[in-house]
Amino acid sequence: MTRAIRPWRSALTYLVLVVGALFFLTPFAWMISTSLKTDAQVFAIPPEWLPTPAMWSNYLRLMTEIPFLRYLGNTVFVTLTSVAFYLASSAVVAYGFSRIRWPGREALFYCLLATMVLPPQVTLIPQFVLFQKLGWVGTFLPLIVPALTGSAFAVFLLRQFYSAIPSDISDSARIDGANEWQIFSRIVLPLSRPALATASLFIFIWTWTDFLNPLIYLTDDRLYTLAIGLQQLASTRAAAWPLLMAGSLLMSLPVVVLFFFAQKTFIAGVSTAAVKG
Amino acid sequence: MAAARPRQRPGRAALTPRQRRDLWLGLAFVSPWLVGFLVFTVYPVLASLFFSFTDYNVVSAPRWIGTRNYADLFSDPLFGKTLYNTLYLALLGIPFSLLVSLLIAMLLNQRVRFQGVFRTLYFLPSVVPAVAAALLWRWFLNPDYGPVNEFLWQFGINGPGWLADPAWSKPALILAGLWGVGGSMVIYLAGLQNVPVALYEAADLDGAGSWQRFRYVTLPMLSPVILFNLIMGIITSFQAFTNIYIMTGGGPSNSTLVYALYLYQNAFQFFRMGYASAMAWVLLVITTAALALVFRTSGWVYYEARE
Amino acid sequence: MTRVRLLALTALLACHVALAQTEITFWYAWGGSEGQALQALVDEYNASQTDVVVRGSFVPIGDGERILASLAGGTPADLVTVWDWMVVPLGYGGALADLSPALTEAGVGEDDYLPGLWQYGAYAGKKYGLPTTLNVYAFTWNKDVFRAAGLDPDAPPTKVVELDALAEQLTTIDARGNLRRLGFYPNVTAIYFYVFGGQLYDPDTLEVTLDHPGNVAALEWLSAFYQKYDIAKIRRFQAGWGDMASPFNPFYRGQIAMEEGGQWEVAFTALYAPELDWGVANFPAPPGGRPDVTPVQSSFWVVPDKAPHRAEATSFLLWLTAPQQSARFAAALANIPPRRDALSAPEFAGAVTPHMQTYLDMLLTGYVFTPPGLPVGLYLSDQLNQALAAVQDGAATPRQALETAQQNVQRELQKYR
Repeated sequence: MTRAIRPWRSALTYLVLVVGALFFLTPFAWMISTSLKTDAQVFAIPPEWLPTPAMWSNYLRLMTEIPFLRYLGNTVFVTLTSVAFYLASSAVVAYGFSRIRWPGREALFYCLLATMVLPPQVTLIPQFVLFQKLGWVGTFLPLIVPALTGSAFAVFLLRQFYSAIPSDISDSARIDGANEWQIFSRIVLPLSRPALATASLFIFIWTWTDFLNPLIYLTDDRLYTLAIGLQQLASTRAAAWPLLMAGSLLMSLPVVVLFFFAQKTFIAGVSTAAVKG
Repeated sequence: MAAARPRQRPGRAALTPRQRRDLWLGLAFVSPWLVGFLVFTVYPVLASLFFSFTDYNVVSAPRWIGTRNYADLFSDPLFGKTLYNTLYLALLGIPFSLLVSLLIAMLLNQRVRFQGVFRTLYFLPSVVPAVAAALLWRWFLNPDYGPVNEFLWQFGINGPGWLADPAWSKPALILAGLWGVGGSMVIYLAGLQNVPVALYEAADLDGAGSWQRFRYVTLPMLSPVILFNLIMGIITSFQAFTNIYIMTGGGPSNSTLVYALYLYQNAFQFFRMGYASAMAWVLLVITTAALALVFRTSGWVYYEARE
Repeated sequence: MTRVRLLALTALLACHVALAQTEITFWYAWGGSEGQALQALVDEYNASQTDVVVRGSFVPIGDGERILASLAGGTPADLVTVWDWMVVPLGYGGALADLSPALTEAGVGEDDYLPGLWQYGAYAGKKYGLPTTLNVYAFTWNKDVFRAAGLDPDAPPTKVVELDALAEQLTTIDARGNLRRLGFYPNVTAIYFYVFGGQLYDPDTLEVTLDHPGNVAALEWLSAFYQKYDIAKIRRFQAGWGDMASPFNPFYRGQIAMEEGGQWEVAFTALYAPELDWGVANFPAPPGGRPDVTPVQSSFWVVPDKAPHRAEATSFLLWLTAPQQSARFAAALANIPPRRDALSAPEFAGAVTPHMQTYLDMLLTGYVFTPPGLPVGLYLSDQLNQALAAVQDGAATPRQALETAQQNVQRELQKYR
């Protein structure tokens, strides 16, 4: 729950927050401003913040320069499917790593952490060959199916949150005759809403902005995602900066909106107060 | 119901039915990951281990050379240099980032007006493409006309070359990491939600001041999340290189050439995939050692669940 | 013949044609107007015959992860665009088709290409790719700056001593002690190796010669330059430069008086600095050096060995690099076509300005050199950068730095023997 704040500290808090917010807003503001510039204005020194005239036509140009809407559709499909799969599987797996004690649990958990540690550059090629042999290259499958097996990041995150829920709750439920799946789905899961929201936010951002995996697995350019589209924009010789920023802005809007609404779940903290009392 | 006594085997305690049940249950819950690990992860990981003992340029068959890659690695001057750069950025950057993001999260956990807007604003840089952020930092930290040096000049200080100076490029990168704290901030916010109000009320009743409230209620309840951010901070700082690649390309003078960037160059630009694989496995060992150290000393983490 | 039979025959023929059409995939690396120009060529090829349909798609090259993965996986595209440093490593490793037989059969030989280009993309007697369009470097100077300093704007330095003197005269410092203008900015180290009579490798034996005396002399000259103008000041100065493709290009703004400029400056100045008065000439050389060094670089088109339709892809490639098409594509990119006959094709010749003519003359009569094509990829150029950095930081003498680089590259090359 959020705490009420003492008045004499509120002025200082607001000052810090506002100054910080301005600083943190700078890159986004620059993105917006650059998206409305002409090619020549982009690198003005010192940077111009309010381009005149504002080239709203850049956004129209963007739609024709790359097949924006088609890429958007592909990206939405891949991301929403991935998020759903990752979240569902990671929530289940994290439960096994935290709410049940079984021999070998810690060893396997460290194994899971270790998979995050090996730099992906050296597993990229063998992984591609694997998917090649499965016949999945050229489809969305290499991007989506592994999501059914959980994300190490999300499993780790959820495990930390599940571990903050007292065992009393599970124990009393077990005594009442509930089976493990019921405890998971009816008790632990609802208590973890902030964690689930956070995990899905991060998974959304990665899959939404992932460039390399779609690039190597989607051989047909009709299946390309937005991240590849942006890379195409950046690869033209005189990099079309205004278009690139316009594209990046459009691409980041869903994330911003998602965040704004997801973080409201952080406020609704039913938490463990009810049980403790 | 009486449990049948299992036959004792010498040297190994057999599992009780309860333990056996828990083992199956645990494995059942964990099975999606386990299956994925066996099907999708094991082969590429073992392949990369194999390649580390070969000369391999990806398009020809790998040629076995034993431990020569590892020997070459340890006598490569860039091995030490890149490890130093990586550790410098990690040891200074992680605490800095953890503290700043915690501070902001605490501020934004209080009931301030426009709380949602503030949180979104602090999170915004995470969605800005690395190219844009790199350009902006190059302007901010520009030695001749950037705002930071202009500010210093007001006090008569001719500011350093920042990203253009081998002695200042790493501190500049740490500063540039400021915009990235939105991610860990969000995780802290989620964690702060889990702190039961009842505990704060009890502390108030006991006459605790705000520091004591923080020290004895917030910190312990937040400790699993702090551990998470610390572990993830270590893992990502050892592996991240794209932002640095875009901002400095590893220069000037290798001062920002981090281990992961050098690894990437070897893998894709020099066609030394075998050498890069050896680099990867050395990194794995180092990171695992670091993580093991963190976990071993993580007695300060308080888990409510006794399981 | 009855009408029915005629109809049936036509239908049969149409079916036969449709069935016989082979589709080949072409990964190209250009977007925007450049990509459209290439796509126009592709469409023209498709329309001109009915056996093969070329499906082009814009695939950014990056560092080749996608290309490498597709080659490793055994299902690459039929025709791929790659950076020049990728050609020999991939080719020598067996992933690319040798184009020599097809070239011989089509009657295309060394004389069809501009001088010095035939070995570009070739290694150990095999030709693994064809250059797309050329980038050519030359010595460029800002005539307005010369005029303002009281110098003859049409008299660029031809000797290194003149260059040194002019550089000193034209370098200015501001009130804070930072550079306001740099008289001369050397960017590509390799150019000066050749200017001073050195070379990166022996073109006949393919032996790497990084520690050639000419290279050492060049690096010593560069080292003196960096010491004189203070490498720290130069780095600070560099940090403040605007983007190359913008009106804030330091050369256009007079922040650099003399530098290496490529033929793309013809198009870029027209776009971003139409008022700029600038000149192009050969690089100034020391006594005993080469007065007509012409650095050339290009991206490449390659046909993977395991391409599903190798023969068709090769035919298309030969068509694409023929003089007519080469001229059209190069004109769209503001580059120079690699084929001799393309220079006189109207699409290219019509747009040649006096500046561009200088670049062409240098290509036709000068000492052309291209980046070395070796199986080690970018490793050689990275070692050069390491040597340069060591010299700039005073960590090694030019000779030591180059000898270290030479040893490292030799050792790496041993793996490919």
